[in-house]
Amino acid sequence: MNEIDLERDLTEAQRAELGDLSAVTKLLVSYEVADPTPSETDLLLAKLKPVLAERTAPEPIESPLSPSRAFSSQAWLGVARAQIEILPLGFWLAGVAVGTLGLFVGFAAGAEWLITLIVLLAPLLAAGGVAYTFRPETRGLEELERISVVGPLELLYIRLGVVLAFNGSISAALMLALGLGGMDVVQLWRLVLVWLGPMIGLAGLALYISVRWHTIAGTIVPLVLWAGAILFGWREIVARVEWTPATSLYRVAAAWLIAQINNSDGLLLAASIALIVGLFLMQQAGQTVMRNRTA
Amino acid sequence: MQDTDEALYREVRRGSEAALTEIVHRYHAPLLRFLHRLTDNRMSAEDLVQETFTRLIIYRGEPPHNFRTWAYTVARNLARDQFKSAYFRLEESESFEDWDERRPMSAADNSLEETVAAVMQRHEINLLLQQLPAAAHEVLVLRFYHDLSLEQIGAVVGLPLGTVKSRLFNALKTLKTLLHAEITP
Amino acid sequence: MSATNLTVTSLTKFYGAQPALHGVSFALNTGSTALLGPNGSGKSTLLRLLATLISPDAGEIRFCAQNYAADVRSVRAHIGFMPQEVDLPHHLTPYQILRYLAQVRCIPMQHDMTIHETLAALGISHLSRTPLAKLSGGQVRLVAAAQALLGKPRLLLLDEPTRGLAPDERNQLWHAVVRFAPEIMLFSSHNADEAEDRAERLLIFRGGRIRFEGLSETLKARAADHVYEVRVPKAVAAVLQREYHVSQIRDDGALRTLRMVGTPPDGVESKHVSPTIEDAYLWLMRSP
Repeated sequence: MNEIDLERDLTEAQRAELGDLSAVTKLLVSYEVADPTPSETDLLLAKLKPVLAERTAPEPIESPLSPSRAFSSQAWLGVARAQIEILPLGFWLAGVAVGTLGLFVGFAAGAEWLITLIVLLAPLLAAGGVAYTFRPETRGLEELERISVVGPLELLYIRLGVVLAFNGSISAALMLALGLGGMDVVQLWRLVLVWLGPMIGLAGLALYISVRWHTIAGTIVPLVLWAGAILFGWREIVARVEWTPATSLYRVAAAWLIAQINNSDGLLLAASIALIVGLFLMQQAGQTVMRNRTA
Repeated sequence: MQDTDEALYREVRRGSEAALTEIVHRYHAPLLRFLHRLTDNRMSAEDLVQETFTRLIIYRGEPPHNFRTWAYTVARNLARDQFKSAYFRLEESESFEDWDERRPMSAADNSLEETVAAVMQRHEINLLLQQLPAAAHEVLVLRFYHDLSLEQIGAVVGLPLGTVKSRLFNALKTLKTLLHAEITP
Repeated sequence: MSATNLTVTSLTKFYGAQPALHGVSFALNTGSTALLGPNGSGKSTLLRLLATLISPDAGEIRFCAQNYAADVRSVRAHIGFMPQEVDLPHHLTPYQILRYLAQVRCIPMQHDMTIHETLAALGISHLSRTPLAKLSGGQVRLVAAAQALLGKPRLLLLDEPTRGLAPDERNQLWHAVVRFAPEIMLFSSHNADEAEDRAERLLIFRGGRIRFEGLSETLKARAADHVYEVRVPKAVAAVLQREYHVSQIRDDGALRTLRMVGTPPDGVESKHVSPTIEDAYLWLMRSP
């Protein structure tokens, strides 16, 4: 430390007043503080260099990381295949069981019964499948999925797609069997709409409730709603059909449903609305998933 | 020949890492010592040094005529902001006149030499210095430890030369009074 | 080309009105860093922000100059993350979980470090076909560590990786980490000794802010004047233990040696001792 002559800055009068300052000087000299070590200086530099880089480059700096690319169809398929691999066996068995039952009923009891089965069961199967797939137990992976390259929204839709594609393909296979069997009792496009509308509607509802609240509610709410719709339809039938002891009420009901599919524009409208609502709810579920990230 | 601080700083503003490295090597130690003495806290001083350099780097106004004075000004103002509540409280609440009546610390040694030795041994010099009003303390630190001229100190603390002179005088007087108070409780 | 680096600037994250991280800034180059601090001090929040699991309320993160906010996917491709709580589907096997995550992360299967190699590095390859329901808690955590190492990430983030692991499992984990050699690793811990052993640098948090950043040697040097031992009768020791911060106790006949952090009590002879990292950490946590 350089000895600083403190008196140099003082006037004659001040010097006289203060007198001997050597003790004060000695004291001041003794107050030493440590210099930074070379590694501390290096550390400081390491922290400052990014600041410098940012200051001198107001434009975003070129990153040595390769920018993310748009997803190839192969990558999408890979992710979809991965979903298939982690879905539990019970999910697949339930779908196959319903399909087998449908085929059996169709050939044994006739086309009307098969159509009734498709229309009544497909939405339940889809809603149940969705709620089951998004149950909390499978969400243990969620955190790890959320930081994957694919992204949470894409994963949600891929998984939903896998579930709906599987359930849909079972109904489609049954309808194909219907067509091949020459049982053309309905116009196919009308049947598809009446089948697809409630299926997407209930699946959307199940997904939204499962993601937003809980998977149990996601199962129960669509189930109750659908049961209500069936009961309402049943009441209509009972009220309108001319009842004789010889008629089988179930056969009448099936025939009534076929007639409705072929003739009722109201039913088609309702199915279309269910389809739109279902798609909207799926989109909302996606929004919910994205919001979770910023929460 | 060495580049001047001002020339180096112009290079830093153009983004030169080499110039930044040189500036940091020149100023890390003096600024750290300065802030350490001002705040009496090594960790705060380290944070403040980093913040000082960050400010110097991101500054986009006119480059300073005298880099050294300016660096001390930035460091001093940051310390002042951060420690307004604690360290600079003294400045507002106490005037120099109070110091004559004040009886600081405890000690019963009977010579100035011994007191100085004792204070040094107990590492209490910093405590003694911290008892100075902040305005006097910073002038003393800049003058004694960093060899800034009175004019430069005036630029750093933003005061006219006359006031700087009287603060330095008051600081020395107070310090001497404190030392004597150690001897004659 | 610049070296691998991670720069965090003024990072702030609120949970409700409570700031979990408050204006945190630091820059790291290649190497390993341990995050220390009490529960709720911001370690996990920082790791979750770095893992892109949550997004900050203010501030910026850059990995290799890539701003997270600008292209999160390009960053994710280089991150491995082991969360603190691991809840993986019980019906799946370690192999199935790793295979699934490799697929959703688009990790090429012909990659040098395949699933089996990763499991083998952690010493659990023999369990690759056993459903998680049948594994111990420690083994499940090793599976979680395996998924973080999968694909040899450049930035490895481990949130309390050794919690609940048996000593041999801990060793396995650290061996695997060394073998996979991530360019930058950050891990949180409650164990200062482990942090000193496994990391080159420490980041110590308190109340959502960085309290210390640097080498463990530096921290110990700072604490050097504040760690001391006193040797007193047991009755006196009992009083001191209540009122001072005691980091270690040794009994020696009728006397008791206390290792203490802070300011020595008056009237008791104390002797300065060189601090361990644990002492230095305690001192830092207690200083204002």
